[in-house]
Amino acid sequence: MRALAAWRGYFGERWQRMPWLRAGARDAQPFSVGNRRIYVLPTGFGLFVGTALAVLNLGSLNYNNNAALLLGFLVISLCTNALIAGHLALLGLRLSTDAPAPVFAGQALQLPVVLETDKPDGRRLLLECGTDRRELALATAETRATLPIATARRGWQDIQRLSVSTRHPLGLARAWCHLNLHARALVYPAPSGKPLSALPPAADGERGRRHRDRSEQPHHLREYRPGDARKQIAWKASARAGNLQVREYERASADELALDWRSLPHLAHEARISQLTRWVLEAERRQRRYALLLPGNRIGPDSGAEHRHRCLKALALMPHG
Amino acid sequence: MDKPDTALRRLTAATAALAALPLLPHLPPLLAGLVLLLCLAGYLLPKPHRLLVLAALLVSLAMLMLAFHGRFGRDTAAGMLALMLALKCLETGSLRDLRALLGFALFLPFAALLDNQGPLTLTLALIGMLAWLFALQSTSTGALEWPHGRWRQVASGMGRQLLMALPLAAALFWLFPRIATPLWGLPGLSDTGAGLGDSMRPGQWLDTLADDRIAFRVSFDGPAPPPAQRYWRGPVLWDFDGLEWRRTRQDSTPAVQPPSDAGTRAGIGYSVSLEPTEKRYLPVLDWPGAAPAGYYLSADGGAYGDKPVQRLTQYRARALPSPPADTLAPAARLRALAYPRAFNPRTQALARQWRAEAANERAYIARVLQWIQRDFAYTLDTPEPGIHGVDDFLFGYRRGFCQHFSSSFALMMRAAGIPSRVVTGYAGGYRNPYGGYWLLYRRDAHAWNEVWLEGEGWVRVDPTAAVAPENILDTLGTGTGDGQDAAGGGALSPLLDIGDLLRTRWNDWMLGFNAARQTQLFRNIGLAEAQRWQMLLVLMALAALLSYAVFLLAGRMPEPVDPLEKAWRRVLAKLERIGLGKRRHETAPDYAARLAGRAAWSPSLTDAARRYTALRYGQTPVDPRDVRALADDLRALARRIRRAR
Repeated sequence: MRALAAWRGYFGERWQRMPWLRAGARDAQPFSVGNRRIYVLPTGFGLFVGTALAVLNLGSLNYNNNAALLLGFLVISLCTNALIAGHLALLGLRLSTDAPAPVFAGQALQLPVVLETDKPDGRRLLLECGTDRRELALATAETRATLPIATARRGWQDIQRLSVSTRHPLGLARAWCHLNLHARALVYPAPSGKPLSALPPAADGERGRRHRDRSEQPHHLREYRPGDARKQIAWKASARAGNLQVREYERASADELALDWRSLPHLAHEARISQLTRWVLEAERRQRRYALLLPGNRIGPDSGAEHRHRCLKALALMPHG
Repeated sequence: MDKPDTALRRLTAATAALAALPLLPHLPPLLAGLVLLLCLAGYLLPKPHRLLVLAALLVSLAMLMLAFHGRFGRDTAAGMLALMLALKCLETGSLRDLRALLGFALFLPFAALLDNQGPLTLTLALIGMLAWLFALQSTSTGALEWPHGRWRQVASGMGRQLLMALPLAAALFWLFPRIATPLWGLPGLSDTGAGLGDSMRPGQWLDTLADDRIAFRVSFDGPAPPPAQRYWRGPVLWDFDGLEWRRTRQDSTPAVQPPSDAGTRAGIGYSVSLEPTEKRYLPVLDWPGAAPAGYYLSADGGAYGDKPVQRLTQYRARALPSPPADTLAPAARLRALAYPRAFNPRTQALARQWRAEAANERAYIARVLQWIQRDFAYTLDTPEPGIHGVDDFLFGYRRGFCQHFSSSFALMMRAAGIPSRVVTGYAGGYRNPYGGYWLLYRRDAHAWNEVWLEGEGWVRVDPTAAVAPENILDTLGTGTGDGQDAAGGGALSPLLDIGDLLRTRWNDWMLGFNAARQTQLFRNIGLAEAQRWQMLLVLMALAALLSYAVFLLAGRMPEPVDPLEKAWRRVLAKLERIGLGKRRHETAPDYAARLAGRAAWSPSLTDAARRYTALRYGQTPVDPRDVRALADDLRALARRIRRAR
């Protein structure tokens, strides 16, 4: 078994590099699985059963044992028909995927997959992407599933292709097909480091929330964007305007947080990015206005979900040190 | 994923038991019980400790040795396989274990079929294989979803798979190139069993004479010869040591000068279907003219093969009405006169005295036979012989069966200077009234004598028949003998006869198919002198075609059960056929709009599409009457489309 594993490891890597095994051109979605895209190969167990059947039939042929031959040929036919059934289990399946929401490095991307079939018979399928897998049963005409894809580092993560496989119906063979995605998903850096309070206090110190309403003047109203805090909504103005209006405060510049790359010279490259990520998250959670200062790039000051995303994306796409 | 649930373990244990089922009748009862017990334990108990499994393994092996008396043969191996599999049921801990168990369970039905190819064994094996298939289906998902209340569905699914597999299986069976001569032999049984062999001692045949199993079936080309001529010749025994009669290996080698073929045109032609004996001889009707094809005659007139008969064997032969002319070589003469002087002194004395009193050999033989007929009784209940076995029999208890009679008679002859030998074989038989063929059971085993008379050659003398002809020539009889009584008797006998007739047909048509018949089959379909690779090519083409048929059959969309859906699809299929198919992305109203004004039926299509959409996807509750009305309209529409074309 160890030799087999080693063999698999060696050739598995090789195979990944073979041109004809690389993902082909991107498939239009929804993708309908056709005959030419389905591969069927026996599993280890299937090979064992096949060998056993071959030996048994050879013995029966040698002794011209007709009863055993009849039984043997019947089992062989049943098994070959099972290969066809495995092929048919995938044929005509309609696949579509959606873009996964960004996650932090170390968390799993959730790739939404929709499978439609005309024959919902409860057969089991395995969704795979690299080493990530998810089992599901096709019990309804439309099945929705999410495939968790592990992430290790920040930045764009390529999702080359998704494979859908099944060992239906006997487990003797594995039928599979590839869905070429060529999609990429954003992975934010993993947050770590000291909390935000450890940041050098701004000019007049951090203010409590209770002071803010008195000292700050509402600067202007703008339209509600998803992610805005409920407290910021100007309910009376919203009632007049007919849509949700949000107060924007013009704060003293000292009240803004400057999350500066250069203020962390003592940290390593990746640690800096992680620290800034953590601060961005905390600042957003505290509903502070903050600016992110990266080498050659200044974002903000601003607040809100979109700003947060822009900051995290900029951090995620920092060159790898 | 790797930890199978209990239901799956139980299913596998049950499958193992079912797979072992066809093998169990061929195993010693002790072992069969143990296999079932272990499977049951695997079903009921969780995985026991490793030491416990080891202990069970040792106990099982000890019982295996005990059951087969320490000998090792084909049957021991089959028993061991069944035991190991049953033990494995106990200690399945992962899905991988279950798979391995199922993989090895495949071997059991085949092991059973090696011993017995009867319809019952095949049926049991088939049931075992179906259970195996179901277990495979269940383990392929890793978790068993027990089909509560869906057994009919499961059964119909199985039946469907079986039906789809049958054509390919049949093609493989008839067309796969058969091997004319075996590449290797079958390992022997651990116990070659009682019955006819190379030696005979009084009392040895008691089991055989109570054995109701069939030895062979015969059909004669013409009318059957009278009972007194139906002696089926087996091994001839030459050497007597005072207790036991034997033959040597050299006796079973081909005769130096086989009898001439001159007489083989005449005589009685017959064909035999011999059940496995694990011995090398073939029973042939006295007197054999020539050996069946593939076999040879020995110097003492027996038919032998190079290998033991281990499967159902069919052969044709001819019997001569009289023994072929022969000469007795001096060496053979000495052998046929030898006997140990130290044993049975009274018999020797009596023989010398009577021979001296008799005018010639014939008169002496007649006197001995007369004595046996008058003073002796036939019974299977005899005491164990002492050191002077023949003396004890002739002057002591005076009852026995063919072994005692033939053994004593041969000694009486030899002591009187008449060359003689013991012939073992079969006599009698029972005629199946429906099939017109004859059945010989193992209990029809018999032993008689041959004496050498100058000028006449070897002459058959049956001392047992002198005592109890009905017991020898009657199982015998003319269709109303022991055969029926022993076979279950009276009212059931027609059923048994018909059952055996079916079995005979099964033997002929199913088990008799071999390389020669296959060549004949190819010749019949016009592939004379087909080469092996040509046969394979034909087979592969056929297999590909059949697989494609399965692909088409199995890939069909399931038939909708909803009448509305059915009717709607029929309309669509009609339109598809005249080139106006619905495109996949089109909704029903869109489609109807596209076809508006095409034909007279277009307005009804538009109307039907609107109503169909409303019923299928609408928010309002569905009235079954509307559904029925629309279904009727759709069917009418389908008919109109057909007419319009």
